[in-house]
Amino acid sequence: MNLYDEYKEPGESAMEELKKLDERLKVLQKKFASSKTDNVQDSLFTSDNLKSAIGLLKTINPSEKNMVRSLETLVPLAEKPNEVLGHLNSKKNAATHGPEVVSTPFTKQLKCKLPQNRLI
Amino acid sequence: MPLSPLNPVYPYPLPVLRNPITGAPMAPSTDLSEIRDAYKTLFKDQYTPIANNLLRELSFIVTTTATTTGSRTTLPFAMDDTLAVTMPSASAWPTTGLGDAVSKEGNRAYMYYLKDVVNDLRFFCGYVEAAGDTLQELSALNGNANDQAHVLLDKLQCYDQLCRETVKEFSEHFKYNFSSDTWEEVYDAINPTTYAVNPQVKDPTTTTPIPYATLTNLREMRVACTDPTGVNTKPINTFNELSKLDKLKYIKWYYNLILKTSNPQPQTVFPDDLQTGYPCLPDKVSTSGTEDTKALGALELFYIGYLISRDGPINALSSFFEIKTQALRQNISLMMGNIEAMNQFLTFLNRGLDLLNSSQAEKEKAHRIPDAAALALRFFCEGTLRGLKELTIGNKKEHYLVLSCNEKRTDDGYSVTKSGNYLLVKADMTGLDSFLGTKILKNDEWPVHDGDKKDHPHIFYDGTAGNSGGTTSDGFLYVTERIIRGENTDRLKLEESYKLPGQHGCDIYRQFEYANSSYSGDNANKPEVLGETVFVEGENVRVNERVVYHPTSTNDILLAQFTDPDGPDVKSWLPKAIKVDSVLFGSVLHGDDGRWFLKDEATNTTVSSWTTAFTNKTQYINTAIESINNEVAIMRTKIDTFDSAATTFRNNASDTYKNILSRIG
Repeated sequence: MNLYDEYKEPGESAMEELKKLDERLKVLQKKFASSKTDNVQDSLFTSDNLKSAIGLLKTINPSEKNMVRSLETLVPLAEKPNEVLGHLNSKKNAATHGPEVVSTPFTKQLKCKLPQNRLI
Repeated sequence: MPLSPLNPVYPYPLPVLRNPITGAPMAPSTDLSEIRDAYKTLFKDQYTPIANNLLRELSFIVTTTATTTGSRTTLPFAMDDTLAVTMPSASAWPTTGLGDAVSKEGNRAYMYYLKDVVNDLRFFCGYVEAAGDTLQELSALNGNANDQAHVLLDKLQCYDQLCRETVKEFSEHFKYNFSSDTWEEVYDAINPTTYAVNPQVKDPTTTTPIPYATLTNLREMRVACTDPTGVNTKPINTFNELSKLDKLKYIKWYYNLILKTSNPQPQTVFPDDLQTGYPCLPDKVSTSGTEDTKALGALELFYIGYLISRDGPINALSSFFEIKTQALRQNISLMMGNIEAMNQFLTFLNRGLDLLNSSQAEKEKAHRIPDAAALALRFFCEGTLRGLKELTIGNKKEHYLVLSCNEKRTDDGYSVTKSGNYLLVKADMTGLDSFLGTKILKNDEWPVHDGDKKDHPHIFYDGTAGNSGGTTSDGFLYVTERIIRGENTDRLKLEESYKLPGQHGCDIYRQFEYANSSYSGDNANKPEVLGETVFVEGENVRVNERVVYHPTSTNDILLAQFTDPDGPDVKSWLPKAIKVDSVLFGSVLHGDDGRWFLKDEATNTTVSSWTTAFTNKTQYINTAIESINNEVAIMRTKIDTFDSAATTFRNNASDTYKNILSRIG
């Protein structure tokens, strides 16, 4: 077996898999970002929805205690009228986070030409 | 001249004379002098000291560093007896973040709160200043000037209201009420004579015992709450339990503890890159300094607080998941970058091995091991391998390999002095060709050491003859150092040396230094340059991200320099090391005295040993890539989970939306 083939395969395989995962995450990220800016969001801020989200978070990401606690603090707030919430309910500053991620700093064809035929 | 009474049709309530938040308005009055004096007292004795206290606290927060205690003595704002107001100068307002040593996202959170505080205080001071002017105008009124007086008093009322709102914002925070099982917005009483807001993140320099000496203590800080038995304390649940200044202070304290020289703490971010990572508590913290933090842990309390403050509670969950996905994507980007970097390492290793083999093609002749092979062995087999460094040269982004020495050698007990110099080689074929060259020279083609062929990367020349106009600068980067046979030192160095004054660039050179004092004179300390770059200072030379480059040059090989080799800016600048096993230089056979460059010392056994070293290192890199493949599998599972969460989240949103629509319909 040629060493070139042997060594290029794992790298290429990892790159391909990472690209696929990145594509999936890109779609996910857009979903979450759009949740902040579409017209549904006001209605989402209900105590039932927040409790549901807390339960979800505890299941999928139990280490996120800080986020769970922060959401728990919002539950009673969600039951208050908007005028009580005041500026805390403002969404005018909601920002989509971060620049577009460039997955590959530069793309090159993987190659590993170990010159086996000239090994001493 | 005494002021005439106001038109009694428009009696003015006297301003609050006690606490601006809790005090009750006094009875209305038509006595202009009384009203004016009341406002004067209000702005002079209440708002001015409150502004001073807030400014003093802000000054204390921004001037406190990990190694100093800061100062509360700065009082840039004052209102004297004549109501002349001195506003803080423009330069007195803090505008900078926490520096390069702090993660970009941590800085972003800090700057968010800093700008908020500065903005509010600027307006606050402006209101007080304007009130001072208005009061002077009021005092200057002559005789009956009811209309003007009414206008001015309306202004004062307005300034009072604005100041009150600002002070209220500085005292606002959330408190949990166990009796009602709710979170309540509360406003601390403001005491203008002592401290503006009751601090929750306390000053460790004046409080005994020091409340937050460690990150653990800070993370477990307790805040006041209300329970049926009275006021008590409980661990902080949400960042909104802190007042505005305390939020800022919390972040500053957090990084003070991390950067503290005497007892620095790991600055954990995910992904493990200060440029792209998010402040978090990873499930698995990297302590080696060379291994990436692989797990995406819980975001830090203050960072979640920042997201909620920035986007609003309504968007908390969306913001949170968006950040999580962004972090995973950033991590994927790093992993891909590492794979690409390792691919480059393989390419450079192969070139070194290729040239080594080429040098042995003509067996009948005496031969030597090429310098390119030695460079590849030193840098890529033994040296620390790092991710690629992206630099913007002109308007173009370029990627470089960052080469350096091992910080400490243990195999021969020789300690290496770090210089803060790093060699940057462009991560492409032009960089490869410039650094290692494309061919070897035969023995009879080797140049005399006269410097004539210094531009060939494989030709060494005597840098002391005719080519050295400058003085040797400080700051060697000892790529490797070995004491060979206990007598001599054979070194490869990166050094900005042998340059005329005003020139920049770097040499890679070999220096053979006789330890035995009897070998002194011309042969001692004789450098032989293997490659160099030279840039002349002037308008065509640019300095970017600590790297001097020439806008019209290929910039294939550059040098990055840091004054403090161990400084935090070095750590933030350096790409993370990639964990790949090393092949130590000492494990590879050399000539009789350990040198590779004498033409009669490269035996078949020696060359075979070098070949094995290159092959082994290639396999080690391959193992590291396999390890990334394993990480990919773990990440795929995490993303599956997130995908599920997103679907659930969107379904909930959709259901709610439909319900609302049905009600409207």
